[in-house]
This record gives sequence, structure tokens and C-alpha cells, in this order.
Amino acid sequence: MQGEGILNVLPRGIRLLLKRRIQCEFDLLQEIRLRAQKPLLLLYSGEEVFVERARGEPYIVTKEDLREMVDYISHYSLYAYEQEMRQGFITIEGGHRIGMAGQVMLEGGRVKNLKYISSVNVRISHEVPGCADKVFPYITRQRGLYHTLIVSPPGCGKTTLLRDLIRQISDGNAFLSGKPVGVVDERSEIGGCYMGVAQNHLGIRTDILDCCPKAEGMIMLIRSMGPEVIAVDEIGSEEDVRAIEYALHCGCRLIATVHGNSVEELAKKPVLGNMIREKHFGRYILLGNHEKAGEIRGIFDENIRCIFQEEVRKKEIC
Amino acid sequence: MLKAAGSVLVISATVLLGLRKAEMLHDEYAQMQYVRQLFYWVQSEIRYAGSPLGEIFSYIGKSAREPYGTWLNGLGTRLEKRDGGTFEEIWKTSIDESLRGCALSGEELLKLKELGERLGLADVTMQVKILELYLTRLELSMEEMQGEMKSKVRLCHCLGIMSGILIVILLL
Repeated sequence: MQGEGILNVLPRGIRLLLKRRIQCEFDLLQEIRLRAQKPLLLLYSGEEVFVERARGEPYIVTKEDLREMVDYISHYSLYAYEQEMRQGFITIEGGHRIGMAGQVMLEGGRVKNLKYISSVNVRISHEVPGCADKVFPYITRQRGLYHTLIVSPPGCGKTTLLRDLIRQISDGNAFLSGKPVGVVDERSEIGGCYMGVAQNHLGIRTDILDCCPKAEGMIMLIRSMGPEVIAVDEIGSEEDVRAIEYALHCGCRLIATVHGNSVEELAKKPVLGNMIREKHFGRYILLGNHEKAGEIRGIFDENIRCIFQEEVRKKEIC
Repeated sequence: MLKAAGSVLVISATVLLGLRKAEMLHDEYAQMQYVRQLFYWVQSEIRYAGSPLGEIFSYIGKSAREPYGTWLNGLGTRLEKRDGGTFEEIWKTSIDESLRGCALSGEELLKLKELGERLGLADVTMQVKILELYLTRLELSMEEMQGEMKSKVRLCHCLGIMSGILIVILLL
């Protein structure tokens, strides 16, 4: 059960409380927020819910709860998660992201680690098989795939959509035959790997490089596994863009995600903007969460012309 | 005739006890060597793979000799289960449960328990140093034991024979 994995990293007291008090469906649970000396909060189906210890009395998170939780998240081995802690989050089995805040330790002016952790945010990852069904007609042509960039602000379902795209491309569907897909999963969010094995369904022809820096990973995959499609999450750095250019020149199709509010906004960015202006990507999928997470605000072609919008789906034209 | 046979039996029994005691000393030394080997393994897994402790213990436990295999497997399972308690508590409880009857002396078990107070914290460098410190302490104990081994073994053998003779004299 997906919920079991999330419950396992929660402090025992909170775990029991959630099991007993909240009859929640884990599919609707989006976030669990723990802050020292503050009430325990859930983001459930887009709404904040206070967890009560007794009637009208919210559960107050203690420092001990947070210490216990850090032990569980890190499998009692903080040293093994030093790199992740530096970024402020750890991804656990199942691809759920645990963000942390506290006192930052610096070394040579750079963030070395976190201590005295005072806030923890569990962002629950969801697998939504079939959520990519409606985009396939627009990102494929003659059983081939366009280089595709998924754009959205955080929390709008980029990774969920990417995961389903990977699964369908790998297994094959009505729009294309199954293709070998290489996934560079820097933060273990796409595959949710546990001991190297993906916990999420990514298809039968998918090879995953887990916890690998994107730029290095893409080149490694091209050399070692010969993928036809490469998928990466949250690109942005100059190295990422250089590796993408290398991948494009090797004949691989690319699917990537990036944070942004619109394609026009991305086109103005110095590093990624060049790629957009030079029309390296054939399709852009813009996601939003106005009605619900994962709604498609638009699919754009290489000229940033809208070719699909969910609100006017019946017309299927802007 | 009966007295002679009884005397032989008593002396044989005490000699056997002496031999057993000497064998236990050899056994303790061999186990210390084995524990050293196991922790070299743990150290290299932390240094090169940076794996979490539960994963390392479960992996090593699969091929470790008894009782260490059971200890490490149990420890790995309990850590993965995440069912309460700090690492130190889990570590110490597992030693009490699985290694109580092993050939290691109480002093060595105490050093092993103390190791659990510092494992899992800080960074990889610190973990490696902590294990190095434990291994140095273990090696010092082994050196000390080896130095005294010959005389202690001889003492066990002599005491076995002499105590047998003393009992026989007292009984006669």
C-alpha cells in the first residue's frame, strides 16, 4: 500500500494518530507538514486539515517527533544523505520528497548540511497511470516523438506526467511502438528507486540511472544503454543544457521538465532561452493547478503557438 | 583398584576442563579477528558506497558466520522497519539479544556497545574515523591477548592437572 511507505517515516505517535483518526485516502493526500511546537497539518485534496489529538485539540509537533522522523528518513544514517541534506530535501522509497528546514551549517561560504531541523514537509508522489493519454496525440507524429519540454510551477504534476509519459513510451501505445527509454533520476523522484530498483512503473524498456547528476547521467546513458528516448526532471543549469544538446545530436528524443510559469518566460532566460529560441524542442506542455493539479494549460509547438488547451478541449484548438 | 580408577577419572575430568578453558581463549581471539574483519567490511561499505547502516548490516549479515549473521540481519531488519527507538538503543538491545552467549568477553561486548553511541551521525569521514578508532581499540586488545595467550594456555593446562591431583589427594 502506498500509504504504508509514507507512514513508515512518520514519528510513531503521529503514525498511530493518522491511522486512527484520519480515514484518509492516500490518493488525495498531498502534503504532511510538521513544524516544531506548531500544529500538525495535512494538505488533503487541496485543503489544509489540522490533525486533532482530541476533540478540538490539535496535535502539536514536538522536537522529539522531528528528531525521530529525521532518524527514519535517513535510515539512522545521516552521513548517507549528506548530499541530499545539502539541497534541503531527501527522496524516500516511492519517490516521496521530504523537505527540511532548520539551521544551516556552512563551509567555505557554501551550505554543508542542516542541523536543528525545525520543519519537515512530506510531499507525496502519486502515480496516475493514463494521465499522459491526452497529450500523446500532440507530442507524436508518424509514430515518432517530438523533443518535449514540460513546463509548470512547483506542485502542478510535472513529475507525475513525465512518469506516465515514460511508462507509455517504454511499453508502447496506440501512438508509438515501445522504445528503450533512459531515465536520469537525480533525486529518485521519477522511479522512486529503492536499492536501485524502481518502485514506480516506468515500463519494460526503461533503464534508470538513480541519484546521478543529470548532465553526467545523460552522457553515460547514451554511451552505455543506447536509449532512443531520454527523460530528465527539472533541468536548468548550464551543464544540463549542454548535455541536452549533446543528446539531441546523438539522435535521442528528449523529454524534460522545468520550473516556469509560461514558455515565453522561459524563452527570456539566458541558458534555456537559447534552446527555445533555436527551436530545439518540438513541443511544450504547460501545466497548472487552477482547478486541479496536473491540468494542461496548453500544448505549444516549436514556434510557441498553442495547439491544445484543456479548457477548450472540445474544440481542441486555441 | 577402585580408588585408582576414580583418581584417573577425576584427573582426566580436570585436565579436560583445563583444555576447554585454553580452547575458549583461542576461540575468543579468533572471534575478535572475525569481528575486526566484519568492521573493516562495514567501513569500506560506508566509505565507498555510502550506504545506510541498515542496508550494510543486512548485506553483510547474509554471508557472516553465526552468531554475527543473525545479529547483523536482525539489526538490519529492525533499522529498516523504523519502529521506534534511537539507533543507540536498537544497537545495544540487538547485542544483548544476539551476542550474549558468544565467545567475546564482556569487555569486548561493552566496547562494541559503545560504538553504537556514535554510529550513523555526522558525515562519512567522521563515520570512517569512528570505525577506525574502534578497530584500533580492538587490535590493541588482540595484541594484549596474544601476548598473554601462551602463558594463559599453559596456566590452564597446569591448573587442570594440578587441581585434579589436589582433589585426588584430598579425597584419598
